[in-house]
Amino acid sequence: MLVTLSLLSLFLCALATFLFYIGIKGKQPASVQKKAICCLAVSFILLSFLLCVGAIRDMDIYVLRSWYLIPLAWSLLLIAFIIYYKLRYTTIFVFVAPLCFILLLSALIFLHQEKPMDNLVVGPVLVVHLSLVFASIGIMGVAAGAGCLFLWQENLLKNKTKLMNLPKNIPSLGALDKVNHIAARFGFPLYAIGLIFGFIWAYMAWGRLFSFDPKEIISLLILALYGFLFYEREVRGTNGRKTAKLALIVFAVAMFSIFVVNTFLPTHHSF
Amino acid sequence: MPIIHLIGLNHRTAQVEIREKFTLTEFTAPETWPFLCHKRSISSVQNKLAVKESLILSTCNRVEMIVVYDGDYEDLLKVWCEVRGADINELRACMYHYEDEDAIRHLFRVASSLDSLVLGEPQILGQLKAAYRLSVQAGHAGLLINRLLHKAFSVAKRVRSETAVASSAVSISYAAVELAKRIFDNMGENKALLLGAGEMAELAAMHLMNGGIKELKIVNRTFARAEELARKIGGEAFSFEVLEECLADTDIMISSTGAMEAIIRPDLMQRVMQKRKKRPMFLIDIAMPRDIDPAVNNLDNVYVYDIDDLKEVVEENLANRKQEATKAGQIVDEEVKAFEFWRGSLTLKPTILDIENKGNKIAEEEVAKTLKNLEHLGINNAELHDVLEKMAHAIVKKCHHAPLEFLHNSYKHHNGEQNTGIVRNILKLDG
Repeated sequence: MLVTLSLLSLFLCALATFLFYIGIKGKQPASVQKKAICCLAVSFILLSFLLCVGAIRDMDIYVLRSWYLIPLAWSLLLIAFIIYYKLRYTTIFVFVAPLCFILLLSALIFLHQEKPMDNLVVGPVLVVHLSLVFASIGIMGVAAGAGCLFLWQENLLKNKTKLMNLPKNIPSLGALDKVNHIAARFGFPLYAIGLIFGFIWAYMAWGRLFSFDPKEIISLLILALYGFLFYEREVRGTNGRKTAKLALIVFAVAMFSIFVVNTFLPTHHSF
Repeated sequence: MPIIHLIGLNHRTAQVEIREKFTLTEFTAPETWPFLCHKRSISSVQNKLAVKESLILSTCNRVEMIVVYDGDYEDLLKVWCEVRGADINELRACMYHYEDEDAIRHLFRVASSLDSLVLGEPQILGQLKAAYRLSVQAGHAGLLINRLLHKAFSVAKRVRSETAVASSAVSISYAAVELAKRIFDNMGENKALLLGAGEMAELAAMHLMNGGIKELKIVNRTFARAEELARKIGGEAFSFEVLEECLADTDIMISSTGAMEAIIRPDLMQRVMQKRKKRPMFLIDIAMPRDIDPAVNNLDNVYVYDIDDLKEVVEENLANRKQEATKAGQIVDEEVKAFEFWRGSLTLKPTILDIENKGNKIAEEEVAKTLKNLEHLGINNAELHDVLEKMAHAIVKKCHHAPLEFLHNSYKHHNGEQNTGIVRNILKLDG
């Protein structure tokens, strides 16, 4: 059943991606975009159900690589819907939909690689660590999407693109920069606290706060980059192209951490 | 008959960088017309110019001269390049030259905004009227320029009332506001600055105000003009000296001054952006020559659009206006024919006068001869004198009716000049 739910969510994310693409190119973008958002909403509900069922069914959680990626996809959708609710930026889903698709597809690909965790270390500390880290990476994912759109549109404006050739359905530069600002303001503290809980959990699990694990090192790198973005935005007031690029870099490093470090390097996080 | 020359370049034939080199904005005031004054000639030009009448139209999208001159238009090009210190080959590469009927047609099309960057825009008519006013004040408008311009204004009025060529609301100011919406999230939080107090900038500022801009500052070298505009469109006037401070508190700037070189330069904008903590700025430059150095666009979070960049917006409604432009073109053609007929009649009038004078002279001579002969016969009657005079003039008039009608019809069919020569020869009007 969990696989079925995952497959359905995957299909809906794929459909949403396709509809958003049609919406950008076609003549009735608003109606097509609404259908795409509905697909993502159903996908989110299915993923929520999947996570609840999985948590209830498996009290001592089998932490699979697939489970790592599914909560991340769920977080991404949650953050996107929160931003949509607050700011009404539908175009943010243009980035979120394909990213969720990639995460869910990867989750299904890695489904067979299970590794049970030691029950002792499973508890509220781990839950807080994972929740906050996923939420902050989800926030950064949305910001990275906004950053892509910002850089694209900014490039068009800097190159004096004809008004009629400018994309009609994406938010203004100011709106996209606002997403970046929100991401830096809330995402960095969440990530920092999540990381602290991670180190506490590491101490509980392996007896050491820091063990020069590749995952720990790259997490600190992400923290530094995220912190730099936070500093630039909140302290120096930097905005625009620089912070859009920073958001992309932070998210890229986070994805590298999930897909490469977890998979190919010897780390405690090789789930 | 003197030739009507029209030489110029516009947004279609020359990029803004080239138009800047040949602009004649500073020469449109009467007291600054040293080179086209038909009362003087320029010693630096090899062939002395004897310009009869002239008018200069210099706007952000075109620079044109209408000159009534018997000589070669190349003389005019030389003078133009001399006063601008520019290369004549560069001018030749992008200019156009029309004579007589073609010049009249072009002028009528310009006045009717059929040749404008934005088809149907109303500003060109006001600009043409201002240029004509200056020509009159300088004493450079004679019979032809006066008649031509008055006719151009009435053609423009006819085009606007009989076609829908000016119906759409698309304009440069509209494009500027739409672009601003691509940059800023909420126009209601933005502050705008108007640099210069030109008509185009005023229009763009009004569009911004309608778009919900929070605040409008107006900066102009002449503070009184800034105040006047502030009262008219709602805003606050500032003197030119505080430009940098005003820029630091501005999100959107529209520049439309008459300055001959860039006012907004990269070093100034770098200081401004530092003060603004690099919050984005949108700068719209609709001046000719440009007020904003193009290098300013390379700065982070600064977006500069000049007049050529904004012109693309016209393509949205161009298809609709083009249909109306065809109808408008037919009106222009009609009016050109009518004007040419009138112009031809200028040549005809002396001939008509000569025919009438000659006829009257013959009639009077023959009446005098007949009365003298009657006196020898003992007949001397005042009433007879009147009757004979009337008869003589009636005969002359009837004899001349056919050639005069022939000449009038000749001008309608565009071979008036040739036939005038034939008639003059037949009637021996030239001795």
